[in-house]
Amino acid sequence: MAAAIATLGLADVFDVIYGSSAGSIVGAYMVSRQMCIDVYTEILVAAKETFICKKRLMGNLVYHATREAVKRGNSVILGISGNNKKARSSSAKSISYHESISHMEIPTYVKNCEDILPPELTNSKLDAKRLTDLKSINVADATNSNWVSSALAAFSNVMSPVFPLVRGLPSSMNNVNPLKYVSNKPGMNITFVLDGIMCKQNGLRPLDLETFEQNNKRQPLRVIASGVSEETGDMVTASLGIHESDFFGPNATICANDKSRKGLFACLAASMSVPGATGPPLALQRNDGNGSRISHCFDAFCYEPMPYRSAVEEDATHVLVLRTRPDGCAVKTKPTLYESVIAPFYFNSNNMPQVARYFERGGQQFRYLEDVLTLEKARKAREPVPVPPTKILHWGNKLKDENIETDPSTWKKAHLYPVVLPQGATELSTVSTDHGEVLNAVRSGFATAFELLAPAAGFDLNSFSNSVTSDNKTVAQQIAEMVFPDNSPHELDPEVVLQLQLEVKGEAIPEKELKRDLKRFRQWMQRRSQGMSQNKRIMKLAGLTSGVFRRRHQNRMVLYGESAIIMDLDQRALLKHLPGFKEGKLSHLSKNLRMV
Amino acid sequence: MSSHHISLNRGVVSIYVVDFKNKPNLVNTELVSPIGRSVVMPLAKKKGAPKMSRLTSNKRPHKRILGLKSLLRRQALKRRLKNARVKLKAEESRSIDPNKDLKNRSSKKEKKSVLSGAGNSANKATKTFNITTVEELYDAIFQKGYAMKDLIYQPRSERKPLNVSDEVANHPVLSLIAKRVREGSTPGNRAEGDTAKLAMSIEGGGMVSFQKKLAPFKYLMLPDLILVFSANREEQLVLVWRLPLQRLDWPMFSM
Repeated sequence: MAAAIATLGLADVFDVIYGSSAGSIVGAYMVSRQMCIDVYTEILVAAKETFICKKRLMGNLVYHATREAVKRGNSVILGISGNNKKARSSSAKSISYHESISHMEIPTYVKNCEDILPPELTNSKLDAKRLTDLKSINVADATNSNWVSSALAAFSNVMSPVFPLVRGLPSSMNNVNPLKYVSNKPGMNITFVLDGIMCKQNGLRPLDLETFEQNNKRQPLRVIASGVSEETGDMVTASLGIHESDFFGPNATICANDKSRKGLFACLAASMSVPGATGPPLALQRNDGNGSRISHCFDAFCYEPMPYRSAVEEDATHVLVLRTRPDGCAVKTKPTLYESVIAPFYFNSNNMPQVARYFERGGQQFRYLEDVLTLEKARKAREPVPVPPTKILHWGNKLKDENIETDPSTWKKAHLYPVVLPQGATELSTVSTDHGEVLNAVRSGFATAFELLAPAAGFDLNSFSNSVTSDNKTVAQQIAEMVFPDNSPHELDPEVVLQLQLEVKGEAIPEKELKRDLKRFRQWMQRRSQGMSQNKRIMKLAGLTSGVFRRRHQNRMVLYGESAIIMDLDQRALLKHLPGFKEGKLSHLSKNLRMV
Repeated sequence: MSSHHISLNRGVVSIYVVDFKNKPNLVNTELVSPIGRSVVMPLAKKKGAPKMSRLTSNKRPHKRILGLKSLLRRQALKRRLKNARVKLKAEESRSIDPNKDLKNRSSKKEKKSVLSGAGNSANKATKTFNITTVEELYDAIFQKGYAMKDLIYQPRSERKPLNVSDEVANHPVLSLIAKRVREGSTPGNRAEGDTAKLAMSIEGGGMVSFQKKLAPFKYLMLPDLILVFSANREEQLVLVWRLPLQRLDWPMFSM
């Protein structure tokens, strides 16, 4: 959708851009006028498990479950030895346990898995000093190594009957080494996105930071993240970028967990930290002019998946909302596995019980449903509609704070318009596994936004409707296919894609927009709508051309079929007349048109 | 809280399943099928402290052994019946004549169909609330005090296709875009009289993909269950382990 806005030359009509989670990446590239959409269509597809991996997601969760269990050893693990009645008394449980397991053999794979286990769990790395340093582990004597190793041995037995239930894993219990699925690496690797793709030095599509900083002064980016204030413990939505020092400068926002990540990249990382998939929340230290404050931030979807509330709170009067999910998609109201298990576990283990309760009581689902219904109402309305505040109003069946105003008539009002895929469009099932799915999703989003916004940009596609091709594709869909063509297997080869570093130069926002030459584009559209049929045009073209050109077109017809020539003509016209491509702008997007 | 002991026939692993009252979906758990050979017997109800001899004895009377699936089903049915009776009582006390009296139901099947909500709109109406607009959502949550899980949102199945030209002409957001395109203004350099602040808001996509990625977890993470395992060749319980996947503040299932 953002690519359609860019190719239609509409990027300059917006005063401010808000991005949630992955949307903040799109927003950053939009502010710098780079629009590296191939990050989604090519790089993340090629990266596959480097970016997101099912096994790592599972392993990471098991890792943290194990770690949490060991941390809470006193209350979690008990030892009971056969007929030993002492074992049942809680006071003697650890002693009896050590006695009882002293004869127990530790499997070899437990001993040989130091690299994948939590450091406090590995047998060889255990020493009394390190263990006493770990406050939450209440073990200090020399038998601890036995205790932990045996716990792991038992844990492996725990997982043995369960792992065969997972699809794709070996069905035979005896051949399963469950510990190989335990990993402390996050399932979703946002470091790859920030350092491997966007980083100025080594990134595959480095963000043009100078242009971004320059443009950000005129068209600011707001990176939305969910968070918990360290001072008050309140759940707050952080609008990162609102303070001057958030992105740049000597007092720029810094990530307390990882001090190497600063400024804009720290903010982007916070907005994309999906609970349970990307590691612990990021402690962002921000300087708001009155001193530095720390907020523990995580993915924006928790409080504000569609960041229009923050926009209206910052006095936006009109908001164009680019939605990810199609119109009429199923919005769940019953707690899923994520709300009932994963998120509560994650937030409880990170000392944020209030967020855990918020998820358990359906607070996040309420916010999403509220967003969907508010936008649906606003699309039909011609008057400004009340926009819910960013504060958390609902915790399932209780209001967090009785003083918070829940009367919509007291809320700020604004005009909202959602750009949403049509009903019945297929939702993208995964980000990285299937190139075809990603490409189709990007094309659908492009076509939807292009069709909707082309009239606003001065292109009347209605007069163009006669030229719909035999396979019932609309003009917008055809253009989407031209901008995002099918890639050859060579172009999708991970070794090629992940080695190719392409530096796309950003564009500064002009003082005054260039005059649009719409006349020729309209003429081209009229020719297509009133002209001859495709076959006649091809015959005419073949008859008129001669020599080298004729042979070239004939060869193309043999090789690619008749539509190739039509595509060639359309692409040239698009290149010439779409304002987003003028004067060499967005050359990396238009390269797909030039290459044909 | 009721507890059950599942013993795999392999003789090396024992599983304890703890069933919490407010989790009616226990029957649907995926754990059931792959351990079809497992045997189940109830543990002592109070304090969850069965004698070790019961756990390890080979002389257990097999008449009482049931399949896990059927036991869980039976329990879920009992729970539903109990809930329904409570509701029925409440309705009677409010002097509302219920259309269908559960007590008069003769067959088990009939009772089941009633309890599942089929054909009993009165019962359903007290439990769920259909949402179609944001006003209804606020009304249900803020005024009537419904919990989120009691709401049902079903988007309308048929929607009119958009007339794009009309939308641009009539909707203030698209009109503003068209106006700014005509004026050729840029951020920070708007035309005179243009006091509007137009924002673009971009939704993230991580969560959708993440939820899809989490699909396999339903086979691994077992909501509403606590697993406790033992491992010893002599079939003695040497370790009890609770996977803290749900609520870490739960009391430990001690033995």
